[in-house]
Parts: sequence; structure tokens; C-alpha cells
Amino acid sequence: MPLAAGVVLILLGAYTSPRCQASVAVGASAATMAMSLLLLRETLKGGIIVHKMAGWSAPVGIILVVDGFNAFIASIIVGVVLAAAVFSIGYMRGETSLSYYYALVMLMLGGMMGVVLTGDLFNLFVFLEVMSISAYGLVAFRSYEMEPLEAGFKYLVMGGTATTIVLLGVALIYGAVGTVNLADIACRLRDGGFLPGVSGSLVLSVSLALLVTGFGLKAAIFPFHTWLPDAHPAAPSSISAILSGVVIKVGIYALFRILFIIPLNVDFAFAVAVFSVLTMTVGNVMAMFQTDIKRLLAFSSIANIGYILLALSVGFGGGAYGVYGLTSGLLHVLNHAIMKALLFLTAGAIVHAAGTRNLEELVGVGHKMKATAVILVIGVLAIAGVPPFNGFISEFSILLAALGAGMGPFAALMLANILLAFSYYLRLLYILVWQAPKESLSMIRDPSPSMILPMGVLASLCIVFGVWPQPVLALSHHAALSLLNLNGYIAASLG
Amino acid sequence: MSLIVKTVSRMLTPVMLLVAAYIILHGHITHGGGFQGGVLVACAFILLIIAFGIDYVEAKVSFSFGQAFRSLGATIIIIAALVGMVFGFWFFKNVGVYPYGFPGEVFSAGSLIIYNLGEMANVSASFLVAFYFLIRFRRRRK
Amino acid sequence: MNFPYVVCVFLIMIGLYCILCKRNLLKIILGLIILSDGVNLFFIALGYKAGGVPPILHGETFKHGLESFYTAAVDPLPQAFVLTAIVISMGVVTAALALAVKIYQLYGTLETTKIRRLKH
Repeated sequence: MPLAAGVVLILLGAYTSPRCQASVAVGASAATMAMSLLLLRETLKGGIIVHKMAGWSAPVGIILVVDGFNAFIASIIVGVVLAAAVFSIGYMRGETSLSYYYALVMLMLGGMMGVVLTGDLFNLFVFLEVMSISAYGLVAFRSYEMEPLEAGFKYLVMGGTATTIVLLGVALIYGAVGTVNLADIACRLRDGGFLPGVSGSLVLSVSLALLVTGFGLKAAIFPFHTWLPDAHPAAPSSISAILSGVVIKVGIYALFRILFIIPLNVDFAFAVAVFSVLTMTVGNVMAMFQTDIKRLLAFSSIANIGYILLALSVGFGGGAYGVYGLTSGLLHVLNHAIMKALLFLTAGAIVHAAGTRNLEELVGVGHKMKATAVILVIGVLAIAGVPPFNGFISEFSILLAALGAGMGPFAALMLANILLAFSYYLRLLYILVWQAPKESLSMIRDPSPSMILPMGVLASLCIVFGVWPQPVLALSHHAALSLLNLNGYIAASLG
Repeated sequence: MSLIVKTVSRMLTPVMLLVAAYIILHGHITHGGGFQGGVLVACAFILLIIAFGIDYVEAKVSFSFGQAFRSLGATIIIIAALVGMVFGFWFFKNVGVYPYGFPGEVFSAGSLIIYNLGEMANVSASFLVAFYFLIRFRRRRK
Repeated sequence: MNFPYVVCVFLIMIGLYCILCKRNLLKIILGLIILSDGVNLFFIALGYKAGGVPPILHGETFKHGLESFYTAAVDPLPQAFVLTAIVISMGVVTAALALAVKIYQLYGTLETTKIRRLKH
């Protein structure tokens, strides 16, 4: 129980950092990492940890609830932020007003942890805004250039609308059920305890639609994906890694949590599956035409969100394959966070050295940056789903789960998408590593050790989780089980 | 600005600060609290800016002082919350190390008054800093 | 009875219209403000009771007994929520204004039709 103290550290790191330097940021995220791993170990023993703010117990007070699912996502988030923070020591050297940069990163970390750990729908909204505002600031951090400003404004308008829509959904739920505590909502909905004079199913479906729209916008699901390919490339690369690796996963987390808390009679699985296929197709097709390395990676993030959503829709089916689908989806959340953070950091190192993001000017850059090239090859092969790496495991198991749950057409479409994605990843490798280097790139060398280190660690994780996936599979299986264990969640939070 | 505006705002600013202090210190027994009081403090300074110009105010309360004051407020809140954690196990817990007093008195709600003061510092300073930022842009364009 | 809700829906629609159709950054920001105000008003209207009293305990409420106070007081929770939401939307608007200021410094205009450096 006292391990929940980890949360305090996040808030502390978020608040005291306006004057801090990189070391404080890295130290704070490392300490948070240790705390969240401890939390994960504690929840693996089967417990659900509840921390009551100010000692008021739910549903009156605000509580933080940590079960296996939470702790799993939280560990991913902190890991990626830690890697990006170490990376940015070398990467952001020479930028102005760095203290704001680290303060915003810490605030974003605090916001994400808050979203993931809270047991309260309104607090989820508040922390979502904390996360988003710092994300807007970070996207537009290089405010002397035009592109980040424009992308930041676009992200801000879409994100601000999304969170307002989420707030409207929260308001409707509060009006229908009379509480915002997640466990209490689940409890009252199970017993059909609406407030008098409320036509429950109507209000519930409208508010659920609003919540799904808002979180879907945060997670860049198909009709709302348009901000992502502008915002992610425009940010500094370490921030792109955080945004693409985990910030969109926060939207996914909220979707998972809300959709399993609020039961609905509609055939949600089919709708989610349709959207997932649309999302992955749009992402992959658009990625094929990109000439900007970071923009290509951003579109590939959209495609991967599609894969995760397909796993979620399998999870709705219930039964053994439902659990299997959720497990593989959560495994893909982990793997995609690692791979995409790795790729964005690598792309950042390349862009930092070469000064351009255009693929045509980066031809053969791998010959000049040997260490970066090796890491890049590992990352690209992993995300393309080549067997010895981790991307293969999760993508393959999502396919198997979809097939087993009787969603054959969707599985076929996903397979087609993976093959499509393979083609442009190979093109990326061909251009960057295979072709002879251009003469304009002759002065380029490998980046400094503080940039290589996080990249190397993430790349070795790619290999380790690919060759020896049993521990992470067990972890994500446990996370999926605790997501489905609604009764235990209610009992622990309200008890 | 004209003489009337200057005179009135010179008279009004201390009153506004006084009302703000009242709202902050009585936050736990009447309406309002740290946020409302902090907004009022920031409004007093913004009124001064409008009446006397940005240079006059910024000579007294600089941009970096505002930043530092804001961090101070946040730190106060965190430390008070940590005190609750150390003595009462829960984060933000209102523990008995503060004088309890009777309901209706100023020093009666334990740590609430500390939160109010911290929030006042945070809110007023951040409003002022945001206003400075937006005004500086105007000045640079001249 | 339903009048506040109608106003809320009206405000939300105006806000969405401004965000989607206007071509000026300031008008888009105004749309964002109107949208969030509509939602906040909706939240407040949820907690309202006809003829309710403020949910604050003071000397006289103790005299009349707490039972009647519970039934008469409006729901305080939405008010706390909305206060938080207002602060948050203020933060968003400040960030948006700062970005708009920076954009104006670089481009010299606030029209989105003229601000198109991003690929589409």
C-alpha cells in the first residue's frame, strides 16, 4: 500500500521543475519508473492498490486505483518518457529556454500518470487536459519556426474540442448516474440505479458516443486522425517519441477502461472493428506516399492504432479468444511504444545530424552513421513484423485472435495492411541504409553517447521481447484479466 | 490614461487587495477561496497596468519575480500535501498538526488556509505572467 | 424547465460552427471559448434545483435542521467541477492566444487561408 507514494513523486516532479535542469528531469522520471515498476510487481501478486486523496474514501473522495492494467500502461509510459528525457540531453543542446522544455515534459508525464492511475472520471478529464496543454506547448516548442506553430495550433484546436466533448460526456453521465467515480458508475449501472426521471439507455449511449469521440480524437482514430501527421513531425524528435509512443496510448487506455466500465447492448465489436480497419488502411496508404521521414513514422503510428483497436474489438467478443485478443492488443501497446519511440529517436538523431527530414536528401545516411543505422534496421524490421523481433509476436497474435473469434475478413484486411506496411518500411531501409551515400552527407557522424544509449536500450528491448516474449505475454495477460475483472475493481475501490 | 482613471485606480487597488485578502483568508468558511482571491490580486495589478502602463508595474513586479512567485505557490501546496502524507498517511490529508479552532473562526480548518495561500500565489502570479506575455508582444510591435 | 438545456445546445452548436467554419484564428479561439462555456453551463444546469439555496453551512442552517438543508440545497459537486473546468479552459485559451500571437509575429496575418505551410 505505501508504494502508492510513487504518485506523489510524479506530482512533485511536475511542480517543482520550472527551474530544474535535465538531470532533475531524468532523475525524477527514473524514480517514477522505479515506483511504477514496484507498483507493477505489487499488482502482479493479485492486489489492487487504492490511494485515497486526503483520506476520504470513494465515492465521496478522489481516489487513485492501481490494478494490473493501470500499472502495465503506467510502466510503459514512464519507460518511454525516461528514454526520451535521456535522449533530449544531447538532442536539445543549444535550444533556448530549456527549463520550460523539461518542466513541460514533467507536466506531461504527470498528466499521463494521472489519467492512467485515477479512479475518477472527472479527474481523468482534468489530467487529460494537463497532459494535452503541455503537449500543445511542446509541439510548438520551436516557436521561431512556422511549421511547429501551425501544427501546434491545429493540435490545440482539435484537442481542445476533444476534451470539451469528453467533459460533455462526463456531465451527461453525472446527470444520469449521479457519480463520477468509475467503480461507482460501474456498480450503479450493474444494478440499473439511474437517478429518477432519467431515460438511462438513451443518455448512456449519447454520453458514451461523446466519450468515444473525445478519446478517439486523442488516440487519432480514423476520422479524427488529421492532427497527428502534422503535430508529431513538427515537435522535437524526443517529444515525437513521447507523443507517438505513449500520448495516443493514453487515449487508447481511456477507451479500453470506459468501454469495459459502461456496458451497452449495441454491437460495439463490429463498429470498433470497422473503424480499426479504416484507421490502419488510411495510415498505411498515406504512409506510402510520404517523403518526410518523421511524417512517414507518424502515419505508421495511425496504422498501429488500428491494429490495437482490432484487438480491442476482439476483446468485446468475450470468451477465451476475447482475453487472448486483449492480451495481444496490450502487448502491441507495449511493443509499439518501444518500437515507435525507438524509431522517432533514431529519426531524431539522423535529422539532428543531417539537418533535413526529406528522404531524398537523406539517401544512404546509414553508411555515415553506423551505430544509428544498426539500431534503425532493428527498429524498422521490428515494426514491419519480421519474426525475430517483438512486433511480429504481437501482430501475429492479434491476427490469430481475430481469426479465432470469427472475424476472418477483418483479419485478412489486417494481413493485407501488414504486407502493405512491409513495402514502405523496406523502401525506408533501402533509401536510408542500402543506397550509396550522397556527397552532401559526407560530414555526418554518429550522435553523442547520451543519444545512443536510450536508442540502444530500446533496440535491445525489441530483440529481447521478440526472442523471449513469455514474461511480457504473462504481464499483458495479467493486465487483460484485471481489465475484465470488474467486480474486483469495484470491490477494491469502494471497499 | 486620463487623470480620473489614474486617481480612481490608485484608490481602488488597495481596496481590491484588501478584499482579496479577505476572500483568501476566509476561503474555508465563506464563498471563494484561493483561486478567486488570486484572480482579484491579479486584477488589481492589471488595473494598474491599464492605468499607468506596463513599464510602471513591471518596474515593481518583474516577469521573473512572477515566475518565481508562481513556483513558490505550487511548492507550498506540494509541501502541505506531503505533510499530510507524512503525518496522516494519505496525500492531501488534513492532519492534526495545525490548530483546530472552532467552526467559523479564521484558523479553524487546518491545512485549508495553507492551500488557499499557495493557490493564491500560484493563480495571481500566473495570470499576471500571462498578461505580461500578451502585452509585451504589443510593445515590441510599436 | 428545459430552457437552460436549449441554451446550452445552442451555445455548443455556435461554438462548433465557429471552430469548423471560421477562417480567422481569433474567431476559432472564440468558438472554443463558446463551446466550453456551453458545456460548463450544461453542467451547472444539471445541479440546479428550482428555488434551491447555496450549499454552504452557516449558523442559520444549523437552526433549521440539516434535513431541510439537504433537500433545499443545490448540488455543489457540479459547481466544483465547473470551476475546475473553467480554469482549465482558461489555460487552453491562454495557450491558444500565445500561439496566435507567435503566428501573427511570423506571418503578419491571422487568416487560415494565408497560413498554409504544412503539406496536405
